[in-house]
Amino acid sequence: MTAAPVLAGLLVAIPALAQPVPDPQPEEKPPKAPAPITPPRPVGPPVEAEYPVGETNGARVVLEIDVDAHGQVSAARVVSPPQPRFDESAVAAARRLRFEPARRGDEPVPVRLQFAFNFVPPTAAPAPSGYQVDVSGTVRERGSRRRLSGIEVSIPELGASAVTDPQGRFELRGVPPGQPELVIAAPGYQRLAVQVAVEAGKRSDTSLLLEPLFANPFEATVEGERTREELSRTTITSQEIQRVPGAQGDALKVIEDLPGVARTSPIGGGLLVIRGSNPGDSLVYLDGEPIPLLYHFGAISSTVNPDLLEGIEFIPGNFSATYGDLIGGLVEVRSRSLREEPHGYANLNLLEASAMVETEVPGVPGLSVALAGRRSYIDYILRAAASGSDLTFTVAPRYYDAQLRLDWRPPGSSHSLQFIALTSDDKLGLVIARPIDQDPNVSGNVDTETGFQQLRLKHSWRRGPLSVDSIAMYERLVLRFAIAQQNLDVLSHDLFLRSTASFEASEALYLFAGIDLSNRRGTVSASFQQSLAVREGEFNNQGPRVDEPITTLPPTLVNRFSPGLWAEARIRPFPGLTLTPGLRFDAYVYGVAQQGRTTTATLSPRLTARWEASSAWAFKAGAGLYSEGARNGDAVRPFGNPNVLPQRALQLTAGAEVRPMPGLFFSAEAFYKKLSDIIVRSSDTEVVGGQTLPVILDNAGIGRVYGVELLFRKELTTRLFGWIAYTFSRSQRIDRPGDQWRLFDFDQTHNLTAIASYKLPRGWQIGARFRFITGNPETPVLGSRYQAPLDVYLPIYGATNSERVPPFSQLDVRIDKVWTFDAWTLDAYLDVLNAYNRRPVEGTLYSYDFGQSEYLRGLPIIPTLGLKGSF
Amino acid sequence: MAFALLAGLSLAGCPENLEKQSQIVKLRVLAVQAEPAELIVDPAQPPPRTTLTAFAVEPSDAPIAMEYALCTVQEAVPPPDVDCPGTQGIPLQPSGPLSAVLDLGDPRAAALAQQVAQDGGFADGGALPPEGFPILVGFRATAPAHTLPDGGPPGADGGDLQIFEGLTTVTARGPGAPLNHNPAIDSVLLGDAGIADDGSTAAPVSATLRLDPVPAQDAKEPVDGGAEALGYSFFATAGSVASLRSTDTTATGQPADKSVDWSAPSEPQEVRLWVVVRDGRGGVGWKARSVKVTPPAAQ
Repeated sequence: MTAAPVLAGLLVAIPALAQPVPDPQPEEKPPKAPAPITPPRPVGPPVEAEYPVGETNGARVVLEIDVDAHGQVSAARVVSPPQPRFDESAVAAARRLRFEPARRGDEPVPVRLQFAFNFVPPTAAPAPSGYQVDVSGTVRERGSRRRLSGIEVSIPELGASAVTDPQGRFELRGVPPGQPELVIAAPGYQRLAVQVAVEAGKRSDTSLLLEPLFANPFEATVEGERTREELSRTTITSQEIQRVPGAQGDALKVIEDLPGVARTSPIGGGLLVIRGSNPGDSLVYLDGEPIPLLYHFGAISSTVNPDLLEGIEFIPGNFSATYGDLIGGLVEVRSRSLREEPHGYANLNLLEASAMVETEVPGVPGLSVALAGRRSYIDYILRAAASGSDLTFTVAPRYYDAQLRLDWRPPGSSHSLQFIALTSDDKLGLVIARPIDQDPNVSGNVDTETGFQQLRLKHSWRRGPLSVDSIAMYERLVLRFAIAQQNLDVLSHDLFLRSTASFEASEALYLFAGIDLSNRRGTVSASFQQSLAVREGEFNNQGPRVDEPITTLPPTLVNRFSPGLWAEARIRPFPGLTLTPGLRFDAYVYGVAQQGRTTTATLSPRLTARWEASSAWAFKAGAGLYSEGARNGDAVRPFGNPNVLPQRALQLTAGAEVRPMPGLFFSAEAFYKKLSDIIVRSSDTEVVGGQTLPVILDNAGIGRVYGVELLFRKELTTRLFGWIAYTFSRSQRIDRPGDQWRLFDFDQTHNLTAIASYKLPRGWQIGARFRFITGNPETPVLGSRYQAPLDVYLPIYGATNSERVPPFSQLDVRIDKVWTFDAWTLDAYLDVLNAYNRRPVEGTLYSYDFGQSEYLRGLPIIPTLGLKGSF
Repeated sequence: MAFALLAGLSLAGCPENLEKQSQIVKLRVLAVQAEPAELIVDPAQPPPRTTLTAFAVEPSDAPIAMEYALCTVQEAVPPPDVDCPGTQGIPLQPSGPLSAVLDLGDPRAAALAQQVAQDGGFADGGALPPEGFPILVGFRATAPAHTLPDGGPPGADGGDLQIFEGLTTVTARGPGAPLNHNPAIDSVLLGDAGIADDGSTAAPVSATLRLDPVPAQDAKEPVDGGAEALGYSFFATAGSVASLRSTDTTATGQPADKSVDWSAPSEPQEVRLWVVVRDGRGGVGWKARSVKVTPPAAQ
């Protein structure tokens, strides 16, 4: 006898044996949801579990199964209390299950999920076959209206039950006329009991809404372990990001809370500094291609709507050959798959308003669309605040961004397409009526505009062991700064292409190869002082020299072409050990478009090894070479030098991970990075074409970075989530041969971040983030000299970065209260930045002659109240 | 990035708790005037010379001594710690308590200027291009510190001496364009009336009044098809100047209000006011005035 006929006899109208069900231990796992990871779907004939011979009772066996990227069950473990014979049968059946693999975006990913088999004793009365459906309905989550699959709906008085299908539907047959009570007792939800009227010969259709025990304004996902191609990868899901206090739900703001990431002053606009690498040597990618501008003004918000994101993956070093033209670290932001059901939100806070809608497109199977937008209104506030001052806004500061997304996956097709259009724009214009104290030449117009538009088309195809993923992107980038008589004007039209082919040769060998190219072509005009383009080593106090003459670049067509080819293998010589050798070739072609271009090329071998010593312990190590071509005009005269070579880095990492129990993760990593050919300023001259020219920039700089990163993480469960990240590091540079080692601008010896978020009953949620970070290095000012023609004082600096500002410490707190209605939720939140009002030191301010100083303090306590409605 | 930082600075202004540039509490040099304002090097004429005069102020009227030197380090962007006057300077001949003469007829000065012109590619057969090149001059002002009401700040050497060091430039160029003249200030209005030369002008305590410099008629000279933009700096021994600087034309060409607000101190006293005007081409002029700040009843 098998379990299946028994269940069928209990009027289960669908193959109930292979339905994922909620975790019976609500403290450990939330209910599953279809987004942001598209969960695996059972395929093929229903799998039946044998009812153990000799047993007479019912049983429910909950399994934790690992479904790999090919839809195969690679492991199955019983997580419910021991019921030996039932367990054995359930595990055997589970190994026969086949799935359409889970997907993150369009990429098949391995996941771990809960799965249950219900065993009903053979004595249960079989349902009369051929009975019509008397009661049917749909089960959804109250508030989010998500369809809930794997939920058992029962009529206790009849001993009848059914389990909802992936669409949340259920059907019960053979229910006699009357008013039976439907009961749902699902983990993670309040018990539901409703009476339904059943009339003879009629189907009673009902819609049931389950109240979550712990209100969650965000989606909950059973997050499987991604295959670890990268040596050091930390994945933060969108649900976790939404709960990080101080981040305002912004994915990119969470980055600085991760180990290896330095805190940079928000005054500087939110620079990305990873493992002691220069800002600009690390990049943020969205689905494989870079985002040119991460934040709006002052890092208030990121330029991509966080509600369209699935999460971020942080790779601080030793990244695979997939990525190139980069010697620091990277953050991969992944967009999520769109839902088929209508969904959206509207959000209002003191600075901005945003909204998003998404839905499937009727009449086109597999096509979904999403539209999101955001606009600030600080322009209205500042315009009022500035009235009567020396400042007159011509364009008060404002920013906006918008995203359009189309997903099309034709049913049954091996192809899928995704189109994303992004736009972001920040603008500020004002007139300064009186010259500023620091520079009498600065008065009049100040105009800035930074913005970009991107069109991304992604195609995925897979058949058997072979798959090809390609993304093509067009980008229009606008950078305009004009301050008095100095200006920079960049209008760039860029093309990107990334295509990756993967082939599963065997269980032990995966092969990958790809092309990754970008062509940036833009018109640049500039007229400003060389020292205004501040470089690393000059961030701290060494601002522009007011007496420096202005250098001018007339409108010039500039090109930067960087094609890359790479190949990588993932080899599993024996269970537990994964070796990933890779090789990357990068070429850099840059210079003024109409004139001779400079071409250089690098070859970068990389190797990582990961050994899963047990289910709890893993060890890892990696070594690799990395290169990065000149950026941001470093190769264009008169602000740069076309002969600069790519910067190089040797990265070494070794570490261990342990998972003492489900949901807990501890990682320790040591790293060393040797930097060479760093592009630095030069005061030399050279003869070019018979003409003596200043070198401006060369590759004389070197650097070294080393440290240890620790991460202790409690992954998102029903209630508690958080992590503690600690980094000890030292980053140093030598700018010119013969110089002494000096500290890197953002060298932070100790960097500690602790984050915790806890859900309380009745829709309350509280969280806190605490950070303690060594103060940034600073260059002292030893004195000054009056410069009479301009009536300013020139500082006389001491050794670069030879002092530090006091350490940074801050506590941020967030409180959410969520009201759940039948078809929508309302989230009122209070996000308090700097809760104990200790204004951080961001640098040093000096009196006009540098004879007196005081610390430049950052933001005081900032409470942000907001409302967010989602449907 | 740097542009953004500069924009931030322009909005942030100076920290309130620190000494302000417009506040005169110790020995200061507010400007250095060269007369004539530039050196025209004409091979057909004798080597040019100019007289440098410091607009040096000290709130207690202590005697001020000046020394000048032609710097041997002549770079487009000179290091601020150049030892000039000192080991990197050629002393200039004094011509008054606060003045010295820069004479390109002096053999050492001529040799240095010639070397700078050649290094910079300026010289062409002995003639300088119209835009010329700047000649760097260092200066040092000293005054006894004990004359200040509070004993004054310690000198740079920790002793009883106030020391103020600075750099200035004088443009040397070839003939062609008309000679630039130093601008002059005719008078300074306080509110609607000019401040009297004899210090008899009174202002009530804590009053906020408008300081408005009136340039001489010929102060604004034609240049590049337009006219010079005159920039002003304001200084006072007491009270508060709302803005250190003003201009009649912004750097991007908008007409601007050259006046600034001055708030009188809350205690009766005599306040000394200084206004400096610069034409942006090396020309400089100034006006010194004093105002009696009186209790309201005395008005």
